[in-house]
Amino acid sequence: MSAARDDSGGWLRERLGWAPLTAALAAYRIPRGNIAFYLGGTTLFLLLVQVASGIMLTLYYKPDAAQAFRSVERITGEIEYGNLVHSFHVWSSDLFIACLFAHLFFVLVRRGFRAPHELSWLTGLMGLVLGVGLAFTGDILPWSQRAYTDARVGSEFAKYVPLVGTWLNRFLRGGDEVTSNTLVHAYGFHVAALPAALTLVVALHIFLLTRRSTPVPEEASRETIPLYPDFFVRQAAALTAVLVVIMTLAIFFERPLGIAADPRLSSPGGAMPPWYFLAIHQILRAAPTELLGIDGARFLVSAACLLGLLVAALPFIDRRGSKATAVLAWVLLFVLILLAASALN
Amino acid sequence: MEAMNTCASCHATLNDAKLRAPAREFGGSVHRDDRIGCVGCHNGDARDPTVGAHSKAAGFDPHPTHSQVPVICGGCHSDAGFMRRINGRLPVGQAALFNLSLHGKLSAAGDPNAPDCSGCHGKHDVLSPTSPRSPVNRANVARLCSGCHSEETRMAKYGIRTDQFAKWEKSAHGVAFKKGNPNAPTCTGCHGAHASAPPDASSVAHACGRCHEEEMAFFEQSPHSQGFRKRGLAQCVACHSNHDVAPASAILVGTTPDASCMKCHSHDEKPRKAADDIAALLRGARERAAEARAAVARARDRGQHITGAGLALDHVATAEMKVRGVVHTLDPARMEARIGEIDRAVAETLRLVADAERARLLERRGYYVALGLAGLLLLTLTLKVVQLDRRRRRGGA
Amino acid sequence: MGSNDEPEEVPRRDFLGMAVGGSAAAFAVAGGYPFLRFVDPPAQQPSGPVNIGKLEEFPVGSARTVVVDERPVLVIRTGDGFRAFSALCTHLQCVVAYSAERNQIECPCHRGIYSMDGRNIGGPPPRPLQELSVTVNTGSVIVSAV
Repeated sequence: MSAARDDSGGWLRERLGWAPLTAALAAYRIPRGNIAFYLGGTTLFLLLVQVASGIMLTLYYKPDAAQAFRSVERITGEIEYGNLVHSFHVWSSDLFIACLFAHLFFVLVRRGFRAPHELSWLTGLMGLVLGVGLAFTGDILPWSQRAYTDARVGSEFAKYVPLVGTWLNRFLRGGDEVTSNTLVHAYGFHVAALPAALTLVVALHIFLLTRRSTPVPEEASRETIPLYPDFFVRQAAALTAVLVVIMTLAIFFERPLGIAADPRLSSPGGAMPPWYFLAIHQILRAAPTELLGIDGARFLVSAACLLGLLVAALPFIDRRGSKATAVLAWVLLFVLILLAASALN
Repeated sequence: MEAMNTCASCHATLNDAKLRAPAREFGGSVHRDDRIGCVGCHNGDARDPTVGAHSKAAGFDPHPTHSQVPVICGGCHSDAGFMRRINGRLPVGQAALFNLSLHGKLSAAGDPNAPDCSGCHGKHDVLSPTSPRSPVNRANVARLCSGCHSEETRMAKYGIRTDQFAKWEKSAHGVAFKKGNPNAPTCTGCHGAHASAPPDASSVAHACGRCHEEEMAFFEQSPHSQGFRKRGLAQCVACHSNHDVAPASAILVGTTPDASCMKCHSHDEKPRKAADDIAALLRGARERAAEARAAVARARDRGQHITGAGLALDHVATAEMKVRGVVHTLDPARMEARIGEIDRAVAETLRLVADAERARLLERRGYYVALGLAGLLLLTLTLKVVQLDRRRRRGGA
Repeated sequence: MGSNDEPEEVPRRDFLGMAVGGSAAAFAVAGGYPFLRFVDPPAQQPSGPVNIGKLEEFPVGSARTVVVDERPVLVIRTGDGFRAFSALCTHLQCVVAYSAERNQIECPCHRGIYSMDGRNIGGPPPRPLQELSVTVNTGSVIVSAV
């Protein structure tokens, strides 16, 4: 595929500067035959799916405590294919968090955070925080009894975050209490503030990628394929498979709304947070009232926050990327899964 | 006018509790107005602070007799001018109504069992009927009546039953009353208050018809209306019973042993057939309505939310309610017209369910089409990968 | 490197490219169809009869504009009884008003005139006003779409 033939291929390609673009993309090499390298693109794709389906939902959603539940009920019940679009959005959100987490995890165990990729690592972690924020605020929007409970419990849990806890708690609630303001707050963050911030972070993340010739340091020994067209075609196949998965989940496994939020009702028994909070939920549930002289829950959440900071600072602590980091990452994953599983019992 | 109630101030200080009580009770009653006072009923001279107040000359009467009480109460409560000044909202003429009632007649004849005014309203502690503590308040009146009417020894000499309250409590009326339905009748709803007289066979439909208007009108158009009158049957009560009226159900009609029709018509061929026909009509409608409800419930269990299904089922219920009225005509043609309304509402409900089901199947079919096309795309992409790999290896080699 | 390819390689590559593009387009159409349908808003369902107030609130000879199903409705009470019309002018959907002194319904935008029975008798309106049915039930005035 010579550059000359591509250019002669069309008026549009000429104007897009297709040849230099594809040449640049082709120069970027990806190790062949490792599924972990498709997670980044899949995460980005899932984000785009959510933006698209989310924009569709805003056509009918009413961000008002009195009308929110009814409007989501209308979306799932009355608007043609509304149930599908709603399920699509919710399922792709779960898959988005899962893929983002898996993406970061594989970068961690492959020690892909090493220089010169420190900033990619940091922007990736910021993406995870914003992604969880998006999922949490989105969870509140239907203003169902479960959403109301999650808003209460979630914002209460934010209290234990050191230093900024009280502020974060008030911020999440849009006031001192969970009220209709909480819903409007969550809406603003879900559709405007967080997507805007995430777009910037993702743009920076991709920009940093283009500054390097390969996504991983010191992988020269392996067989590589060019990003374009070889990797793109493989990624396209992966994305098609992901779409099939979401489609199947959305059609066969609906996400029921439950009942409208009613502050007078007692919280549903055995309430479970969204799955990505299960581990922390279990930690809080098992927390003793006091640890080393401070509130047990506060101690554990502080410890978790400290761990998060450590993970963020990893490229600067473990500059060479030792095998021990990878082992620790696997252990941590195992512990988190164990905690989440025990929360379900 | 200088108003003084020296009776109350003196009686409140007496040692004998029995003499103190009236003063205390009166202080909390609706009659505590100084324009009425103790002398309003007992006469005497309230201005005299000594025992001289018990003046025979002023007509002092410490113990008005049974037959005197309605006269004393009526003295004020039948005086429209006086009542307007004291409490303009209260109607007058209760004493006259009371005298027409069985209670009034027996009481006037000196029957100690028959209540006078104080029997129901209390003596010194009369409260407004709107007070929840008043024995004649709507919430308490059934208990008040049953206080005497459930007592077998007291009722024996009049030959009346004593199970009315127990039956009423379990009846459709009693259950609705307990649930707080403001339209559910308690004793006075059918029997009246002051002019209480038991409705008889020829008049009970008027009592029932005050609320069940449509049923009464239809009943009067029916052959039963004449027939019952000739035989002295108690209209509504003949089928529905009275104090223990059950929620109306189609079981009343038909040829089963417990159907009301069979009380009279167990041997007549023509009415038996009519009862069978009507029962079949009702049963069919009931089954179709139940099917519509079940269809919506099944769809809901499948996770389908059907727009308008709730409204359609409300229409079914409304139409069913309207059939209940028209049954009283005993005219199958008129019933069929109203059963047609049920059927239309049922058909509408089933149509909505079928539409939703069709849409669901269409969605599933669309899913499989999309799945097939995704498979095709995956296949072509795989071929493309193979081709690119081959070319890269050749290029690299 | 393409210059070294065997001659039949060129049409096959094009064919495969077209196959990828074609199946992607077909999948996009099939998968995107529900989303297109979702974006298309559903028809507004009339909510059924609406109680618009007590009889006393509508003296004879008066007219009031009430909102039924989020649309303005002109309710007029004359000696003969109630009439209700959609208050949207059939010309360009301005909200019409009742004029007591001329006893007619007028559209302020382009001087459309309707008679008291909703017929378009002057100005640009092309059609009579849409009429709604009014019933009075135990002192309440109830409007429902015909």
